Amino acid sequence: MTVPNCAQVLKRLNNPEEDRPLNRITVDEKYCKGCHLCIDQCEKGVLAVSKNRNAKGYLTPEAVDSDKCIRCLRCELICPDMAIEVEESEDAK
Amino acid sequence: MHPIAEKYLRKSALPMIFCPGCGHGTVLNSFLRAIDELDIFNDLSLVGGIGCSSWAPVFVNTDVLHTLHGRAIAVATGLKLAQPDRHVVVFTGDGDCTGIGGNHFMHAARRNIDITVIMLDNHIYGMTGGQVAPTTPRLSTTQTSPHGNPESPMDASAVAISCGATYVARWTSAHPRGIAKAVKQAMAHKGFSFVHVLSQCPTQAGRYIYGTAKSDDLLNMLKNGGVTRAKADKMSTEELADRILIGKLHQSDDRPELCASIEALKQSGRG
Repeated sequence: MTVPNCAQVLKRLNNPEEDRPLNRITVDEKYCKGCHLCIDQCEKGVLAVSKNRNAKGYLTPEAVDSDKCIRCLRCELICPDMAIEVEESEDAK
Repeated sequence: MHPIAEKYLRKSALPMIFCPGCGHGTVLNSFLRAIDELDIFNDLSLVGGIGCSSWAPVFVNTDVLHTLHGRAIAVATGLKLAQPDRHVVVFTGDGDCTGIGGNHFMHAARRNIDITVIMLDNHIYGMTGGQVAPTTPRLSTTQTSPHGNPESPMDASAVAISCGATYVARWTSAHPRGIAKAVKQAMAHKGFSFVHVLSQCPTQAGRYIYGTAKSDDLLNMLKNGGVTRAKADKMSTEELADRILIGKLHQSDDRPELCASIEALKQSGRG
């Protein structure tokens, strides 16, 4: 997915109703180190700490409210392990 | 895993060695996005010294040189002179670049050789156990300054500009879009390009200098501390005391580039 510029992100932040197809946010458990920077940096509170521990024992984040996602891709950009991916999807959960 | 990571990272070296919450991974993330947009991956050579920061290129599936402590820029200079067509990028840390390799840094900037240096500045020697670095803030406590650091820090961007670097930008790991933009500009620029990225270190700098090991607090500290030139011009000196100037700090085309100068000498029959 192409990274939106700051003006596009601001527009989406201010008009959350428009321009919002369904998104699927996937966290790769194999590479996530549980730093939770994505949860802190999400302006919309889409992500939260899950109860799921990965093989290394870190609590991985999960998308609890992907309807709120405005696709600013902040979580994708800030992830130090490139473990998050935001995709446009018709059958998002 | 993100498709860009899938495409460019060396799977056998993963997971990255960085501590959870370290900003160096974010910088590598932005760097790979910039490389993806420029589409120059096949002409890329990466050089790293010693330290956490210098591990960043090791995870990229391209030509990588992991060199001696502080000598990354010296090796990159030789590589660029031998193969001027390659895009040479140096990943280095604050201790590696300004402390141990300070001399190489100054002289690469003076020669204006067409390499890109990305300095990941976490204000401390992280990997070796948290010793004082040339960028450690004054009076901060570290493993080698338990009563406070008596020295004043140096500003690596100012040193690069004064030594003759022709592109200098400074961002923080809280500004991934800015880093990607700076990397794109630096790679396109002919001449010594210096991208100074301030990054959080929850394990060493966070615990001992800033008093918190929470990476999100440290990241927000960087995010709120950064101020662009346009905003800084409207602020008073007191307001700017603890702020970091971010954005493109300097760009000029008035100095000749080293590879081009050597080629011109060869053409004239003197080289």
